[in-house]
Amino acid sequence: MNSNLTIEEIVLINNLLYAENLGGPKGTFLSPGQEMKTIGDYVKGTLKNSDLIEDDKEYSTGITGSEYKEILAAVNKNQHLKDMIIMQVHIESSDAGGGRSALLYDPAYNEAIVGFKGTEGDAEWIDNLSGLCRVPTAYQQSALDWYRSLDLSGYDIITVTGHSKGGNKSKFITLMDESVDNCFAMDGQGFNDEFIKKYASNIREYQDKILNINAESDFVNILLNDVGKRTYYLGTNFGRLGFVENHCSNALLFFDDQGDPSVWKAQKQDKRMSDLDHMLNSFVRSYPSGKKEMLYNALANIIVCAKNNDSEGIISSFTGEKYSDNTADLLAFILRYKEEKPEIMASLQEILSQNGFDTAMLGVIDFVTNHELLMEFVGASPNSIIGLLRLNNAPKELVSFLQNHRELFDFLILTASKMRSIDPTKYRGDDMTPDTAGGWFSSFARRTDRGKKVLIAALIFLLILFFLFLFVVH
Amino acid sequence: MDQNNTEMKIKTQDVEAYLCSKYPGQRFEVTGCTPMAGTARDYDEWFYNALDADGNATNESSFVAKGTPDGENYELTDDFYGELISDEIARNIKRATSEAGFAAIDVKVSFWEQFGSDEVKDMSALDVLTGKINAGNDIKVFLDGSELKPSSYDNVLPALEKVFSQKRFTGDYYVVILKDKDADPARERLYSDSFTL
Repeated sequence: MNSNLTIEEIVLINNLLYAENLGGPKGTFLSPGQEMKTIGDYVKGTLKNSDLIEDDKEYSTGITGSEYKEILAAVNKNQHLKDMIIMQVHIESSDAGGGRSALLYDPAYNEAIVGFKGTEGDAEWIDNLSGLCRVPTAYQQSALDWYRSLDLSGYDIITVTGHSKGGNKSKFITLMDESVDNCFAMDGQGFNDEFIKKYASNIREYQDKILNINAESDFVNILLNDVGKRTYYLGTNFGRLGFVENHCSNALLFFDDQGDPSVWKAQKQDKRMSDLDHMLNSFVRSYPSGKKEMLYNALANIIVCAKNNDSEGIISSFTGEKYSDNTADLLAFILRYKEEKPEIMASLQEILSQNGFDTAMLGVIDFVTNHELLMEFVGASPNSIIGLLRLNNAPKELVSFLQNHRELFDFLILTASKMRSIDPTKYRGDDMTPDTAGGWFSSFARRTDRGKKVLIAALIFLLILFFLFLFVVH
Repeated sequence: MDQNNTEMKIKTQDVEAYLCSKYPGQRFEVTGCTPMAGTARDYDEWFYNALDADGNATNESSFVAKGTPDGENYELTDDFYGELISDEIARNIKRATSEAGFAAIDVKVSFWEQFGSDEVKDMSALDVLTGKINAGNDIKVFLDGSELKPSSYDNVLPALEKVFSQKRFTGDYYVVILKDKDADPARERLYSDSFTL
């Protein structure tokens, strides 16, 4: 890797890509009006209106006005960044549109920096999920098409970067186009098994150009199989959004008394995240390819409904005819997985409590969901359960919610019935690499501990029968 | 999402109808939307392309219109007007730059404000340039440095500012002095600074 950017500078650039409406429209970094200005010009123009930037207002997901002021002040002190020229701003016009990116030019080292903003809207969320089963996704391809439309012939160094989906696009471009010298992907998700198999040779050839810069507790970089070197950094916790904040682009930045930014390497990835990573990989691998498209539609529906605060939409994703089969598959897998690997429950409990959820009931839920029969009983007895909750002074909102959504009880029965046929340890949860593609991941990899136990029990039973038989004959 | 898709389709048609009625003779295609829900914005973003006679997009980067719910109404604004007046504004700037004694190699014009359908009726380039209509003018002027002495760079901005003010131009002006008329606007910069009128 030959980029002249420091990790702090890369993180600052990725934060600028998210800057929007800071003190008015001029405060939007990825706007065509910024083309041919320097980053210094942008910062100067935005800080001119700093009185109009409200400290407590969120200007992009998870980043407030006061945090942006810190970021802008830090950029303003960095002459290397200030001298960079915003050559081109691109707003994706194909498909559903909206993805934003920019070409920056570093005159000090004749380096082109192509930056991709993270997930923009519903369409990009849907595209994120289509990464479960499509190779490549529409938005990965349009990012590559735009990259290839740029005239990068006069640059000595070409670097791509991005946060979240922007990180994924950067990695994709690096694997697809040999012109890239460096890729810095912040908290970007990976690629599905089919992708790793299909592009194994590209990955072998170009993965050394990729550096993943992840917050130790980020939950997006764990999705699917990562490519390139992984590094983990401490994340700040401002305490506003709880766990979600681990994915904010400014999570890695620490500022000293002088306003100078720094990042701090973590020893390793947060164990909770690696546990989740393994669980999700196992699930995706275990899911029939013919049903993956519907699963991603179901998940996209849930995410978009959640973004729009549409709780009825979320419930109907679970209970409606269209997606209930897929969502029950997912829930059944998670419940069976936690039976086999109870440590995941502790991780989930920690994550939920960090998000302000009361986890007192989690023990009961854990117990019930470890037993399909109990779940079926709960699902078959809505009146008794609601009555029981009333007797135990459960919150009125919960009781009335369950009364109004009795279909959730049917969903529970469906989930319980699916749990019986699931072996959550059938497929390994490690990230696939080009060297392991086609190996133990893709086939019936290994017998599970549970399978082994059943086999041993059966053998012992047969042996006992055999000795009993000998004894009787004797 | 499924219900949203239907709603989105209806609104997509509305946005296209809004643009077509606002800019007669132009054709548009709405390609997508980022609803405000789940973002820090208080408006929806609508992405659209302008189409040529064959139905092909004339722009590489998408245009963005904003949609803001206002009670039962849905207010739409856009900045496509800029496409119609920026050439004339650039010509005015080049002329004024020449009057100030400098050769403008290129002038790039953009606007920060968006307007709804009633706000741009009979909008003229001069009204925008002189601030009768406040469009948030953002103008970059690229000058030929081969005709200037380095010691005179600091005098360029005050000279331009004087002439532009006399003509009552408004907006933010970024002046970039390039090596010569064929110079690369990024790599061969000799000087740059800005002023606001």
